[in-house]
Amino acid sequence: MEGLGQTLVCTGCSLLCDDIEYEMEDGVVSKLYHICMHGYDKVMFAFSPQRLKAPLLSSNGSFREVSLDEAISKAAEVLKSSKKPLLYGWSCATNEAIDLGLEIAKKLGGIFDGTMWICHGYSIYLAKKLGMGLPKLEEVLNNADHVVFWGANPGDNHLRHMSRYAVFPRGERVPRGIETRMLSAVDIRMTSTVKVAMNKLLINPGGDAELLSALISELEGKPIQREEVAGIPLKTFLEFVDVLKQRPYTAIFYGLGLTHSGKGKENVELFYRLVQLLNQNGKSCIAMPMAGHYNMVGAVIKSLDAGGGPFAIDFGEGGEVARRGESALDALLSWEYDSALIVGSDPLSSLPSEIAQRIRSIPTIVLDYRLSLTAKHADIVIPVAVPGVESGGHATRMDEEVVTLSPIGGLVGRFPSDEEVLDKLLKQL
Amino acid sequence: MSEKSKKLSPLEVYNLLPKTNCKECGYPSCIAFATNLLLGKNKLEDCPPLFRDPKYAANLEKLKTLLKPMEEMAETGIKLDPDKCTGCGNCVVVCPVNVSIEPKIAKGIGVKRFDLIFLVENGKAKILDLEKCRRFPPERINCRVCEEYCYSGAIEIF
Repeated sequence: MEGLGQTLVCTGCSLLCDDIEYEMEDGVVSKLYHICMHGYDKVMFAFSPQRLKAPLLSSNGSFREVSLDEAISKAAEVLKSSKKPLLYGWSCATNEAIDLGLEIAKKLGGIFDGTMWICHGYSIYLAKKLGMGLPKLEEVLNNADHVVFWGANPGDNHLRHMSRYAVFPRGERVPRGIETRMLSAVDIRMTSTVKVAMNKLLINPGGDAELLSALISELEGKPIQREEVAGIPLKTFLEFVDVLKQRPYTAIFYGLGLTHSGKGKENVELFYRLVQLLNQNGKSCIAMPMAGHYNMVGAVIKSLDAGGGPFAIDFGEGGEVARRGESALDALLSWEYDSALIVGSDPLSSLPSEIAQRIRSIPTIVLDYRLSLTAKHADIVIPVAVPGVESGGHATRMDEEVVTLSPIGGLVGRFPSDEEVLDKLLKQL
Repeated sequence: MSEKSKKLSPLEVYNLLPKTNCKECGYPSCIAFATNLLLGKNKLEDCPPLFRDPKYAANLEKLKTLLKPMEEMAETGIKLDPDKCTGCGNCVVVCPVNVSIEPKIAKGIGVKRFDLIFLVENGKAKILDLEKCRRFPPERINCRVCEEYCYSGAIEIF
């Protein structure tokens, strides 16, 4: 059997599991080992009848197939005749593709934006501003004897997070794995993650700030004088405080439940205050956002490096940063843009209708391997390789570790990668 | 700990048995029979009065319905529902036997070996060699870690 014993890096989420063994039969992946169902679906989409195969050009309300060269030169024409292009997506693109996207944005004086704002753009920005950075997952594996999931549900989203790194493996200071690790979960509902946690902290919706403030108060030596905190009985709350105080190494993984529950910024700021306080109290405490898309962290870091902000960067004519959006939502709603290049994202499906309508009304170029809703309404659709399966490059794991993708040899070259398309496009601009 | 689907208790089975402690089954009491029935050591058919006496007919039907899921179980009483499984691999890494067979698994790393108890293949966990499970003789340990940490409830132990 060809391909026996080889491994690929899964791009199903930002865990970038690098131990996926595969077997091939007649040029098709026949077996995948250790991969979760999300990753399995992503890899197998490369062989799906629904996978996009030919570049498409919209004319008179329908698509016609064109050559790759024609699609790229039409895309270049659209971008060149545009006053202010929007370059959107990026969390599902390799680091190399993001670099090229930024280069195009600078060259054309466009807006560089993406799904970083609906994910952990702001939290990573704040962590870096506070000098806290992102700890390594291997460090958590080896040291954390208390793991907390806060507004995060790896049990449904990052399926191998607990089994690959955070909870079940046996580490240097936690030699018996789960028997020596305490597992806590804070959420508003009984998620798959809360189900398997020892400490289940089910708070009222929007109760994160209240719980965080109460924890901070307790750790500062100012006891809480209430019967319940954010819907949690005082006894449960105090037990959690004790665990935080007693366990030498706490790793807190937080999700969109914390950062996008109405008071996102306030929550994240309080959250990092708690982390700092625990460290000042002689405990080791690290915090990590549960970035979703496989290169969310890469997109945020590249965006921060290029423009000082995690999203919504408006480049001026000379390629300098003209302005930065405090909220990408406001930028997408109110900033001027008259064309869009969308890479590995489906804003028409995921963004508010006002924005979706704006994007639909302007000339749009989409790079994707599936015919998403955005692709269906685009003017030019360019099919690209499934990253990690049909194309290589680098992506940044949720802990900022840069991982080299290892695509399946026989599949490379079937479709151009995002990077190759963007490179050709840039050369024509 | 984690919430699990309702388990059959020996008492539930006992309440539907003749409760005469006749010892025809070879056990000293009906409760001992019920306990061993749930451990898979004997079958309902080993209770002759239940089948012989028509007054137990209704209870017999109830017992058959109650015990039906056990027929789908492997010998140690572990059931893995592939429709529910998400391939998270918690069972692979949390299982002490899996780790003793392949130490790399202790570090969370996937290793393709077909002599393991659990292996994730094509996005779903599979039970390969259940005879190695500690629930089997000689250990006969009531280990339930795979069930306890299964997110989706795909693994059930009777």
